[in-house]
Parts: sequence; structure tokens; C-alpha cells
Amino acid sequence: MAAGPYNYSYIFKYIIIGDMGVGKSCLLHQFTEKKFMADCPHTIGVEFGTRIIEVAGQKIKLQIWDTAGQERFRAVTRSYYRGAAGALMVYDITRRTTYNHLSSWLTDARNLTNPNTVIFLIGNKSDLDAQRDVTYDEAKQFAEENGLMFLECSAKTGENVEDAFLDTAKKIYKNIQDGSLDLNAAESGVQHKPSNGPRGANLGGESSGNKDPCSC
Amino acid sequence: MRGVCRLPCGIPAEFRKKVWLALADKHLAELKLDWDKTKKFAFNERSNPDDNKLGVQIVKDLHRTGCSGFSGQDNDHERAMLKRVLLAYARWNKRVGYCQGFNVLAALILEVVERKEDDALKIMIYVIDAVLPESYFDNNLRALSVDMAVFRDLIRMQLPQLSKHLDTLQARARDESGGTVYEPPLTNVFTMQWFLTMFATCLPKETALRVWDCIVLYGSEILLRTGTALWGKLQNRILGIQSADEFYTAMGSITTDTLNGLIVDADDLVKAIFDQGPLPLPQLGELREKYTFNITPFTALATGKKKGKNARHSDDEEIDEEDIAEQIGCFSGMFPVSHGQVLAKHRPLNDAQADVSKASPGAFAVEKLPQHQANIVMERTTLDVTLLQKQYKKFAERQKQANVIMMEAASASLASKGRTKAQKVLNVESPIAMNHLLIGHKSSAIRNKNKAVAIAPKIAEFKSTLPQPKRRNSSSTSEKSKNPNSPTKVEISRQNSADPEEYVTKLTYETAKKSHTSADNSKSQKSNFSPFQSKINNRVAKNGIKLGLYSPDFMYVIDDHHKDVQNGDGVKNITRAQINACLNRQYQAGLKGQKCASPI
Repeated sequence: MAAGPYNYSYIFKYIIIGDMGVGKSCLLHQFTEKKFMADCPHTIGVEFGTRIIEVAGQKIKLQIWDTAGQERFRAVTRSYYRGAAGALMVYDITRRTTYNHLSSWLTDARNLTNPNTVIFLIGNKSDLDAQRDVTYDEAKQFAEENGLMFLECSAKTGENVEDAFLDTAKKIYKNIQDGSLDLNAAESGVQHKPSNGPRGANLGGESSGNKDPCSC
Repeated sequence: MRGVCRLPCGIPAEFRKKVWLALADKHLAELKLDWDKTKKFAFNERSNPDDNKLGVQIVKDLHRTGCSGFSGQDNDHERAMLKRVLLAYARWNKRVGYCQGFNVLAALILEVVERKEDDALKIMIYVIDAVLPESYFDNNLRALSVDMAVFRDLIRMQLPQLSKHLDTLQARARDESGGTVYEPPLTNVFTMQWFLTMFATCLPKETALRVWDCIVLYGSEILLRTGTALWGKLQNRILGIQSADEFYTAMGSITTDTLNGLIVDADDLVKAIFDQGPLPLPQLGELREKYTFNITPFTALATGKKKGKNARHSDDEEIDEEDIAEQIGCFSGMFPVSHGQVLAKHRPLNDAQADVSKASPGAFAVEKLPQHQANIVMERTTLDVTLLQKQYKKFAERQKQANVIMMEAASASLASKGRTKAQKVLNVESPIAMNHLLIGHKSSAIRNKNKAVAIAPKIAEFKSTLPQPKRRNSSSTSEKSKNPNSPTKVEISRQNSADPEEYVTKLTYETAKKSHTSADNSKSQKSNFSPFQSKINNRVAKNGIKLGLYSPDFMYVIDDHHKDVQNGDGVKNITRAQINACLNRQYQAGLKGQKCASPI
């Protein structure tokens, strides 16, 4: 804690997308505050939240962008997709339409992020199993067909919420480790922050000695 | 009333409702509506085919309004009321319908009008349809994107230090990611919220209401000014920040503080709003226009396959401008850079033309913002011509359709008495509407150029000071005098000499225009020159949409922000004496430096 806000070595940028009312903001709130907000105000435009997590002993700051779900906001929220290291794509298991729109969200996510962006499919409101409209299996299959990670969560009970955010981070971290995510590449969505440095600098590779390309 | 809203304490709460309503009534009166009928239609309980989907969206958001005392949080009655008003507005303006954020607006309005639903609807209509620019809440929030870009320009002019700092943070993120911009302009996320809810979600309610008073009285420019004023207040907290991430984190607590009234005092804020130079800001219209036609929404990105790296974001555009803006340096509206400096800067690029402008320096003295306008003129030349051609074709086609439909509608209305009203509107106003279409979106470039004729001497000078890749001849004044009867055409043919492709576009445009009646033509020209004309056209066109005459797609034209609509005289429901008394009271309170006790 001594280094204050710089007490982490990476920043991962996430976006949360999906139809309106699927619970994107609630998921974010549950993850950052560990509380369920029943009357969570809907997102106007874009909002963000942060939390520092730990993966493999490394402190990672998640910078999470939460987008408004209403269709007409898509044009203005798209600029926040770029450079996301992780994308959480959310649907509501009790409303099939929100599931049916996934392909359009996925298209956006694929087109606007980089090929290494980890896309995580979340079926939210798993606490409302009685009103379920989308089965676990078909969503699982959709996820597999499209190479997505998948979990059903409940922002209300908190079930699996942590896992969804953490698994995404682990996957990103793994991509960095095995070199498939090139931090030098534009839009990697990851910044490496030397914990002693005054500000973030992109890592030139995990073992790079020169961590401050900005010193000119 | 305009004076009152500037004074300490602003419009007293007991007058606020009257003022807002009077303005709204005035707007509705101009639309020549049968309000009772409209009201009945809008508040009709029986459902309407579109209602279900709308209703679902609205209901989803009702419990999430979460702001102001009127939250509907655990009050079913209030929630139902909010829903009715939102549905009513959506029925009234089907094109806009329901946009997330309206619930916040409606809640605040309902509170001001003491929960009278039809009054709330009136004000919703006035604020959304008349005060804010067209497409603020629909059409992919196009006008909002425009204002976000314009706002960045204003910040650059008014708060150069802050703007530079934010740009540095943004650029730093970019450098670190290998040179591609992935960080959107830092202010955007806040600007978006501020403007969409008209500050209702980021200022304490009383302060927000003060801002709203100014907005309804002075127009949407107040949004931009309030934004600038706010950043001005926040600037000190931001200048020390070292990274984009840190900025966003810090803004988290700053926005909370702002909402709790810890940062801005209402009187200070209002003062800062009006301390930003002449109102309306002379260059605002131009800026908005520039971005309206230069911003290609992100949708292009989505359709293209993995264009990511090359695709140019609307946000990237400002990078081109940065160079230019840097030359301007400071708020040029207030302190015009001497034209000598400007010339010196551009001379290496365009020596001969610079000399021309040197010959008549007066032009710069007259115009407050030469650099800016020159800027804009230059940007316009880069408009994609083929795009314009396409748009023109589309319009010409729709024009024909609209014509046919109108003819039918007119004859049909003769037959049925019930529709006399519609007929009246049609017969009287359709010619204007028609040529509104003609001078609409597509012809923006032409419209702009026509404007250039209207103030030819000035514009010609700006052009000549800047590199003009496409245009060679700028001697508009002399050409114009050769043919005083048809300025539009002359201008167009003059422009033609520059670019053959443009020529074709304009020629077709001209031909199409000729095919209309001569009266039509003269009106069309007139509307090219008068800012107010297009306002009327806009309104007529809106009526047209309501009557189902043509599709909302026509409605791209920027609203001219009704500079003329609201003045003190517009507030009729309040007697002069009342206003005077109020003014007096406020003024004296202001003199004493006291907070007047206006019961809220």
C-alpha cells in the first residue's frame, strides 16, 4: 500500500456490453463494491469502475468501462471498445431477446477490439432460475462455437461474479505470459506499470529491461 | 427573465414553473397545435402498437431513475406518473421515442411543475424538441457527438492549459500503446453524461435547476458553457494528474463531490457561465456545423471488417485540428490574434494568396474569429464529394416521393372535412418544407457556400490566407457583382471551377432546384441566407413528419438554436409588474451580497 495508487503492475482495460437491463452495471457494482444495488441507476453513455486484483502474485488494476445498453448509444460507446483487453458480454437468462442479440454484440466486440481480447460471455440473473428462458447448455454451446469463456452469474447473489472478472484477467495474464498478447501491439489494452514508476508505461515484453519508453 | 436567471439566487422557485411553462406554451403555440387533442393522444391509456416495446424499456428504467427527490424509488404512484409522461413524450415524438436519460429529465421536470403530467409533457417537448439541438437523443445521438467535439474545441479555447494537459494524458496512453489512439478524449465520458441529463445527475438539484433556467431561456449553448465552467472549477485538481487512468480514478471522487455541492456554488457557476464572452458565442454555429458534417459516426467502424487500425474515428479527427488549434493559441473569440500573425504563419504555404488578404485587413477586423472560420472553411473543402452526391440522389428521390404524397394528401383532405387542419398546414407551409428538404443535409456544403456568398468579402479573405488545395479562384466579390440577380448560382459556378466532381453535384442540385416553382426558388435562396428561416423549415418539417408526409431521415438539418425565440416578452403569463418586483428583489439581494430566501 506504500506506493499508493501505483501499487500494481498492470492495468487491464475491460468493457462490459450487452442489451439494456441485463445487469451490466449491477455486475460491475457487485464486483467493485461487493454489494447488490437493486435500484442501480441505468448507465447514461459510459461509466467506469476500478478494482485491484491479484493474479499469480501480480497486482493488476482493472479499469472497467460499463456501457449503456440502449441501441442508440452504441455509436457513442463504441469508442470505448478499442484497446480493451477483456470484454464481458452480458445477457439476461430470463429474456431470450437479450441472448438473441449476442451475435450483434459479438460482431462489434470482434471488430472493434484486437484479436487477443478475451471475450467472456456472462448469463446474468442466474438467481432467477424459475424464469429461465435460455438454457445453460445452449449458451455454453454458443460460447464454445465462438471461442468465448462462459459463466452464468448473479449480480444479486454475487454468484460467479468474481470468477468472471478474475478468469478474464487470468486469461489475459496467461496470454501475456505465453507471449500471444504482444504488449507492444497497439490496443493490447494492457499497460504495465512499474510499481516504482511515477506513471504507467507499456511493457516492451515481460523481461524487458527498458520499461520506460517515454523517456526521450 | 433572462436577467433574473443570471442574478444571485436566479429565478425564484415559485416563478420557475411559470417561466418554463410560458416558454413551452409559446413553442406549442408556434406549432399551431390543438393541445387538448395532442394531450389526449399522448396520454391515451389504450395502447398503441409501439407501446409495448417502449413500455418495457421505460419500465426497466423507472426504478433506476435514482436521482433527485422524485426518484420513484419506492413510490408506485410517482413511478406510474413518470411512466405516463415518458410514454406520452414517446408518442408525441416517435422519432426520438424514449432515450435512456429521459427519465431523469422527466423526473426533474415533474418536480418543478408540481407533478402535473400534461405540464411536464409540454416542457419535455419544449426542451427536447426546441431547446436542444436536433438528434441529441436519437439518430445515434449524432448531435450529442457533435457537441462533444465542439465542447473539446471550446475547452481548448477557454481552458488551454487544461486542454493541453488532457491531450497530453491521452497522447501518453496512445504512445504507450504503440501509436494508435485507443484512449478516447478524456472529457467525453463526462461530457456525455452532463449533456444527456442536462447536468441533472452531476450537480446538486438546486444548482441543476439554475442551469436549466438558463438553458430554457438562452438555449442549448448553456450546456456547453456550463461544461466549460465546471472544468474550469475542476482544473486545479486535474492539472497535477499524471496518467489517463489516474484521471479517471480521480474523477470518480470529483464527480461525487460535485454532485454533493462541494465543488461548485450555484451563483459562482451561473456567473462563470455568463462570463464566457458574448452569448451566443459567435463561432458556435459554425463549429457545430463543421462537426456535424465531419463526424462520421463509429458505425462505419462496425460495418467495416477489422478496419480498426486504419479507420479514423471521429475522435481522431481532432488531431488534425490540433495543429491548427495550436496556432490559435488562446481564446480567439476574446482576443483575436492579429491577422498579421496569421498571415505570417500561412505565408510559407500560400504566399500569393496571403498577399491578397493583406490588401484588405479590414475584413479581419470585422470578423471576430477569422482563424476559426478559415479553419472551418478549409475543413469543408475536404468534404467527401461522392458522399454528397449519394446523399443528394437519395434526397432527390425522396423529394419526388414526398411531392406525390403531398399531392395525394392535399386532395384527400379536400374530400374529408375532418382533415381540414392537416390541409391547412400542408397548403400553407409545404413549399417551405419542400425546399427545406432541398437545402437539407446533402446540400450542406452548398448551403455553406451560399452563406459564404452572403458574407463573401470576409470569407474570401480567409480562404486566401489558407492553403486551398481545391479552390483556385476566390474573387467572389467581383463575380457576385457581375450577376447580382442570382447570387446562389454564381457562387455555385464559381465553386465549380475548382473541382469537376463538385461541379456535377452542384449542377444536378441546381437543376433539381429549378424544377420547382419560381416562388419556391426565391424562398429557397432566402432561406439560405437567413438563419431563422431554417428554423421555421425545421419546424414545418417536423410537422410534416407528424403528418406522415415524409420520413424522419430528412431531419438532419441542424437546428439554429432559436436565438430568436425566447426573450423576456415571450413570458406572457407573468405580468411585467411581477417580473419587475422579482428583478428588484433579486437585484437588491445581489447588492447586499446576501442569499435571498427563496423558498424551494
